Amino acid sequence: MTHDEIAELLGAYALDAVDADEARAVQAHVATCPRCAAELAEHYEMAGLLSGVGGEAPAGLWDSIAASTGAPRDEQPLVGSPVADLSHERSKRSGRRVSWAMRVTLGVAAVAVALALLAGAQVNHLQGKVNQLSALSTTTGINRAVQTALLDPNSKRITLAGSSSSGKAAAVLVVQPSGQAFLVNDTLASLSDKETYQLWGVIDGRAISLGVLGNDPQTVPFTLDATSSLTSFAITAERSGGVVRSTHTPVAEASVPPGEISST
Amino acid sequence: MIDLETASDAALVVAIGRYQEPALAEVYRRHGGAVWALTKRVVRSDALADEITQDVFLRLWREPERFDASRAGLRSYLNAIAHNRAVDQIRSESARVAREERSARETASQGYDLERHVWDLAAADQVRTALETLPERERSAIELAYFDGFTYREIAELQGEPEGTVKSRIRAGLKRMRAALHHLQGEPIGEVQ
Repeated sequence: MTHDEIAELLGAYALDAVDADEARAVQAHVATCPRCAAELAEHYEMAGLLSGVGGEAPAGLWDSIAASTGAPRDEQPLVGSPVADLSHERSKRSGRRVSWAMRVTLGVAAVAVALALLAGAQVNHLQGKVNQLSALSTTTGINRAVQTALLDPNSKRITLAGSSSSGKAAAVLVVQPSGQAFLVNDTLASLSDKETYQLWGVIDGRAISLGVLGNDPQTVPFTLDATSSLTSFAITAERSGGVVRSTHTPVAEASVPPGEISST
Repeated sequence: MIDLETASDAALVVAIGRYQEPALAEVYRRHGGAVWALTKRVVRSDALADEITQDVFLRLWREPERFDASRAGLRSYLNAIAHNRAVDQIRSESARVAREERSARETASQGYDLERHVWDLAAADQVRTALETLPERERSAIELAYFDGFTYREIAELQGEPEGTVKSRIRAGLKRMRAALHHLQGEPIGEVQ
């Protein structure tokens, strides 16, 4: 199927109104076409509105769900630990080996990207230009979330400087006291399709992956769920999919005073 | 320790990843009603809606890593899974026949009124107003697809229209709806929470 043929299917696909073969074709295409992926995200957003807000969750149904989780009842309290350890915890507790691909995916889930990443939601040249954010015409929830974070006087803002001799700001992290954070790309150049940027946090001298950012990140929301203080951040360029441990020199990095960044 | 009631959906998914059942309970409290209502609207059966809703939340429990950021927030993600499952459920042959008969009756009696269905689900004023801007054929195509689980090919057959026309109408209708909501609100559209 051609690009145009796929594009014409996007609305129907978002409403689950295509055949299985067509669904597979759309899925394969949007994985490599940012424009169609962005349009599909917009259609999903409309489908979400059509779904409505619903009412009270059926109370009795929860009992059935809880009975099926098989969750042990002696769970540790909800104390955060470095989010990238999530895959390790699950692997350890389930007794199953978790593939690297799974770990990367879990890592991304763990940094908890909660809001839509819609194309066009670009927030470039962050510093000193907060007012421009409100003028963005792109209609995404992420813009509002970033605005809120920027305007929150308790938010921490960390500039990751490029590793080149210019020392120019390459990206900015905005971290709210709740742990909700945003990476706003300022000048990181697009990578090839076979590469990705990856964000790292250093806790107790250990680099932990905070997320795989893609080859052309714009604004990426994530959550820091850590009781241990982060002492520095770094961004590296890696092969597509990300890596467990990086051997590359960061393209951007920043140090933060101990205790400056941690969630409660 | 995170406060479940104030934790973000994202933080709850992280906690679910650590097998924290209370986090799943909180996600259910926040979004279970919406998932169930949507599913019930599609399958028109309380028992099936219960079954699918249970499956959706158990899937989140077992595979939190599948939470896909490109599908907006957590509610949209859960709704997307539920809708897909619901549509699969009603696309059996026997269900299809019954659905076509039911749709024919509705067409004869009251037409395809997407507003009414949205009102059934929630009093979403702005969504309702935005829908009013859609041409009737676009609205009906979206309704038959989303709420009745027809494919665009089936809709084309029902409406006696070319498949390409229906496909285009669904896409155009969703785009028009988005533009209308933007215009109505005068500010970025957020996800319904």
